[in-house]
Amino acid sequence: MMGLASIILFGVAQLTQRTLETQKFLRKKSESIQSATLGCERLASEMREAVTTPSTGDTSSWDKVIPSQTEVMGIPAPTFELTPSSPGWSRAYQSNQLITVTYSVAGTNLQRQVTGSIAAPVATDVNTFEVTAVSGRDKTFQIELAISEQKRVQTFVTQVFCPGAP
Amino acid sequence: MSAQVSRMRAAKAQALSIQARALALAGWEDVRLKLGKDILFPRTSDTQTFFSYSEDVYDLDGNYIGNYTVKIDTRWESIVLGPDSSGNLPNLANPAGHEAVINIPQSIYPITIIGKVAEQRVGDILAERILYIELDMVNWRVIRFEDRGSL
Repeated sequence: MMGLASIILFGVAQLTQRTLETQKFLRKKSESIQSATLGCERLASEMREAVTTPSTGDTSSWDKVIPSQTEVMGIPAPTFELTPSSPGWSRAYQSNQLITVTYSVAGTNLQRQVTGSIAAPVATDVNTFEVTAVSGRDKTFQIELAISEQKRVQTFVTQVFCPGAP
Repeated sequence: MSAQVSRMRAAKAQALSIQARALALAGWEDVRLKLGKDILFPRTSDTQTFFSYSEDVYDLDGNYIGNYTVKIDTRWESIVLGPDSSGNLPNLANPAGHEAVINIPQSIYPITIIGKVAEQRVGDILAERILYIELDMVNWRVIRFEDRGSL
């Protein structure tokens, strides 16, 4: 009787252990994929804000307008629609109204750095990261982010059109 | 199990956010084409300071996906009067009465686009994304582009 109980308990213990291992594996897997997709999504959304041409390679940087800047560069709205002074309006933000954003790989992390602040990781377990200009498509860039996951490498690819790039 | 539910919910929210961004980008493409093709767009009255419109978006099977709303701030709308039919340029100090053959647009348009994902035309919004863009009509160039967040 005791032997039978032991066998049943052993079986249950084995089953529980394997279930936990499976759950741990699935959690780790979904975490890596979510980390990579979030990283890609954030990078693509921020690259779309570029007002200079993003650099290509394993480190990419570009300038964007500081979000706290006053709209339309602080130009007062004209009081009369035929205001003759409008041709003299400044039509680009000055360099002190821009920040430089840089994405690069440090160790196994994809990190984001903004001028004057410390770098922060946006994706983990990164294997490779590369930004390339898409040939034949103006202002379009391809982002490739490969992550290592359980001895496998998964690659995420996205393309971004940057309307503000010159 | 509850942790798995949270993760699935987070993944779904992320996908919906990306859909909302796609709708907002569709709105940007729409307004960009309208501004590029129609010199009279947006047609506003003298006292109007913004112009907005909204479009529903359906998939190929006719299922409702969501909508986008475009708001063009026309406070920086400005034109320079061109010559009249005799070739005379306007008196800039007193342009009233000058009948220009063609006016030259000088505007800078701040444009806000909101993409919304919903299951039905009238119902809960599942996700929303806001884009803010400043377009210089003289050089036909985006001088500012901001992705103002999600969910």
